[in-house]
Amino acid sequence: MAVWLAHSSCSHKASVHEAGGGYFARLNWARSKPLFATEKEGELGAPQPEAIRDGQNDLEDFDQGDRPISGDGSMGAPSALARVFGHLKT
Amino acid sequence: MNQVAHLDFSGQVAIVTGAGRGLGRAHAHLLASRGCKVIVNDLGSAYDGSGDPNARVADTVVAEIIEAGGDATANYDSVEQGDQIVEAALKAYGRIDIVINNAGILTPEVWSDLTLESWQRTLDVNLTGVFSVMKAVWPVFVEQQYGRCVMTSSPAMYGAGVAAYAASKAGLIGLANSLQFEAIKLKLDINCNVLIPQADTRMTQDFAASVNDRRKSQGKSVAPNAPAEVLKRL
Repeated sequence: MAVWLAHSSCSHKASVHEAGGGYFARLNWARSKPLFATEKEGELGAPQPEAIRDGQNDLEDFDQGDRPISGDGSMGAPSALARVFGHLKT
Repeated sequence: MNQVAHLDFSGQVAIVTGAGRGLGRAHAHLLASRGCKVIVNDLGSAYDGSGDPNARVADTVVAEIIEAGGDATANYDSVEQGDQIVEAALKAYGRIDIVINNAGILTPEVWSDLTLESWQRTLDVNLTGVFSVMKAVWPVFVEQQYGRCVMTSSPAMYGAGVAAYAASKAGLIGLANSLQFEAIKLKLDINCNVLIPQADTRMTQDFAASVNDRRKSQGKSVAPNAPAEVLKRL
């Protein structure tokens, strides 16, 4: 595995692989369905912990989530903020 | 063995840290067998960083590689002085295409016994050592507009009772992601990836022992070199 990752034809970037005794696997980041507990119509203010308690189904829902890519900057805060702003506009 | 086209590394140069024993040695042999020139870096210390710093295990690996028809050079600098390893590689071969960051120490204290000193020592070698090597090699990669880097993380990072080791090994993933980000920003063919060996050398020995026990119980012969066979398959 190390030698494959070291080869010029290997295009993986910031990937994480397990290897051992002929066993190989690749790991992914998994992000759940987003839970938005920001302002709602007629209900301004900071998100409350109760909203997170009541939103556990969303946070457990990885089928409606995504697999973010690391290493290219798309996974960080700018993307998360863009999602929140996108949500606020709708 | 299947007749498949080998990955070709001819003309390339790799630094493999901690290549005197175990996984690093296996990586060095495999790269050399595919035509890569290898800097076999190893301090010669024990698994926990103790022991005779003058033990010349890297010489043995270099001799083995040359015996097998490959090209390798020994280096005894600490990964904490990455610039010295990179300088030695450039002096020997004039370029560096690959860095396999494999060197690491494991201090075995459980959480209740873990001292700040041990925590710091582990991070110094396993995390700051990789920083040191990558910081030194990065201008070479950028100049060549090419590089391949592999970080050796560990399943210990999932939680296995060795907190300092786990934290250092999880930290390498953040470091790899950040170096990859830099490479993408520069639009260069530089890739940084992470390997989690699911069997370390001691584990493979235990694994091999259990395989041999099973073979014995089935009345079969015992594989004499089982750990090496497992290592080759990583």
